[in-house]
Amino acid sequence: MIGFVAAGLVAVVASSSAWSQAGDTAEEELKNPYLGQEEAIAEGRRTYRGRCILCHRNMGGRGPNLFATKLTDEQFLEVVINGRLGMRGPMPAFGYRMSLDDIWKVHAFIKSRDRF
Amino acid sequence: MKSLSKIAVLGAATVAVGLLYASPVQAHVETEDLVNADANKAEWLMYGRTYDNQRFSPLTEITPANVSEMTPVWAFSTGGKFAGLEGTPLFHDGVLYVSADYARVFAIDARTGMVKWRYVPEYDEGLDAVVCCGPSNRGLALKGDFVYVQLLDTRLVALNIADGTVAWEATMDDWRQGIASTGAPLVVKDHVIVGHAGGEFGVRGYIRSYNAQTGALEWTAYTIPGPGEPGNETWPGDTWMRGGGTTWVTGIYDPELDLLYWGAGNPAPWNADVRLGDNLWSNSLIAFDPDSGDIQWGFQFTPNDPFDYDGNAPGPILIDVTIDGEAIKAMVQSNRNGFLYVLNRENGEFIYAVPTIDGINWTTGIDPVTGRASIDMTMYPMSGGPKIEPIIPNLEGGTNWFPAAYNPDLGYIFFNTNDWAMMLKAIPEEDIVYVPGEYYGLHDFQAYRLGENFGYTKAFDVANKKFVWEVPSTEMLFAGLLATKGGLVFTGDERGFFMAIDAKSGEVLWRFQTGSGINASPISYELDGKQYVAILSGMGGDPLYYYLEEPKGGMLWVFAIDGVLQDSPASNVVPIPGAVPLFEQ
Repeated sequence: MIGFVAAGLVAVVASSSAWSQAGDTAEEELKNPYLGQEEAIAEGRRTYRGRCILCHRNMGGRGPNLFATKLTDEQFLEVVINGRLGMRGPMPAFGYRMSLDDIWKVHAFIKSRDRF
Repeated sequence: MKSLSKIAVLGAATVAVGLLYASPVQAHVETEDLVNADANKAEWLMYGRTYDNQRFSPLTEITPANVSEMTPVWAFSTGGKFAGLEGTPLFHDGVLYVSADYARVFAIDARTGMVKWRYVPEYDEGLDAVVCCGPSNRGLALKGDFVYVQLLDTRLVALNIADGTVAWEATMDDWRQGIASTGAPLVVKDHVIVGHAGGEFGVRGYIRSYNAQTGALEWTAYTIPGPGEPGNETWPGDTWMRGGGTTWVTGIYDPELDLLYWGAGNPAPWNADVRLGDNLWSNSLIAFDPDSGDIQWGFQFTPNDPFDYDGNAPGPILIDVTIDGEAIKAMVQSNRNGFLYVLNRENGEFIYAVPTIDGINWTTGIDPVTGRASIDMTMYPMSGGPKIEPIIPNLEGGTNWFPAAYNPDLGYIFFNTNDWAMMLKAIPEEDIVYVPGEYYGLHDFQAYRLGENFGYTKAFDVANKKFVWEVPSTEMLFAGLLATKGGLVFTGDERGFFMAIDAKSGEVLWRFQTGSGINASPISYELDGKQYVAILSGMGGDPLYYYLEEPKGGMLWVFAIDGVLQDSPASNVVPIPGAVPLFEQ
């Protein structure tokens, strides 16, 4: 199970089944284990509405259109966890507020359709 | 195993509090100084300059006749993340007190432009993820030995005015619930009164009073009444518990009536049909007893609001005016719902309202006696229903939080408006789920512009109920205004222009390109017999929903006619300890 991240240390705990499925070498790209799974997509939709929609809206807004993201699974994960400087203000680091599973499910949701 | 360090987030923010050079003993700001702030022509002691929030400087050196000679005297970069500046600086005893993004505070010697001290708060990681509209801060308050600042995570901090060290701090709430603070505190007598944001997170709005000396909590006054309190019946079931009505715009005070006025924002969730009723006191102006927090009266601008028309934005202005032959202790506010309201500030009685923008279509009209607005139900987004468009104004409002200004000589209020519309589609009721720290029931939303011009700076004659002039802008306006007895109005635009307008005619007489969008509010002060005008420039806040943040900025600009910048041995660069040690033989 992935734990939420407490103030200021490590973003993910490496005991997740999702994590282990991702591979064991530094060279291997992490893949979202929830892609195409209906239940995870529904959960991801709820989390998107709760965490993402004010900025990313139905098809982009203050933040880019996530439904058209060109980020790889792993890049998406990294950006959500760590945040980054954006063109419309910084993307906050959600690694302190969302679990790895939450993020993967949001990713599964946005990859399942072309708009909210 | 993949290296965790690749995606681990490490480290905590740093705090840097330091006295950069010694300060002379300063004259303290006391209650009588705040009550009589208008007579203190040279200084700017509180957010709205005076308790009536008129933002009217009595200074007269700079006029329409000579403003073309105004030039920059010095500038200062607030640095950091350049995440947007929305503040109103304060000026006292030769020092400018400036707040920047993340509630960083700078005390700057106004003669030299050199930092006397700076305060950089430390925050828990994750805070940014529960701040809806950028890490803005709109200002500070002064009283006695202290400079008060409310941090983004709701802490109220008293800084020692001499050196910026922390005298005390009080934690107002748990930011993890989505409660943040961006407004300037208001000092009334020995109370420091503060509000909060978070209306999109399903919180219940309140203001709090803390003892100015000790930081002890004195009272909490909720804007949304609880069971047994008048107005609770306007909320079905337990919807009042998460009813919004937040208080993120600084209130004002009438010392003569001893009434504190503070506005409450939009109700939550945005789906209005799940909270049928007026939803008092959301979207209202509320009069409080400043010593107890007891509500004296309220006036609601937008009942059962499904449009996110925060009624607290911007803060109203207190004026004494004769309307239709009757002398009235009035308050005037250009409201986010597109109307300008004039109320009797003694009792909340409605005087009149006029539209400030064209095409308002969310209402079938405002009752000319009571001031009650009726929502046009064909424009009302029903939960799970079809999209509604175009609704005018946009949820950002005919105007928004940026402060208006008033010239009592002319009887004109000056404010910035925006002409825009929106699409709203209310989510199904089953999708409204309360999770602490998550957005609570937001509509699907799209903004539309309506023409070639976007923003307008407007002058309105309150006594005669008529608009006098307007200055169009090709981009939206999110800057506050300053009026001066010299006959000028100052404001800025998203293109970065800071401008001076003739208060009588509306002619733009002077402009200066500050380098980044202006979303802050100008002040004027006098130093060594010379009038100065100061403004913060730096794109941020809500405009970043519509513009790229470039060109980024974070500058304090100070202007004057033949202004003086004194040389100083001090320096704004901070040496790295030990990086360049003195060579010793």
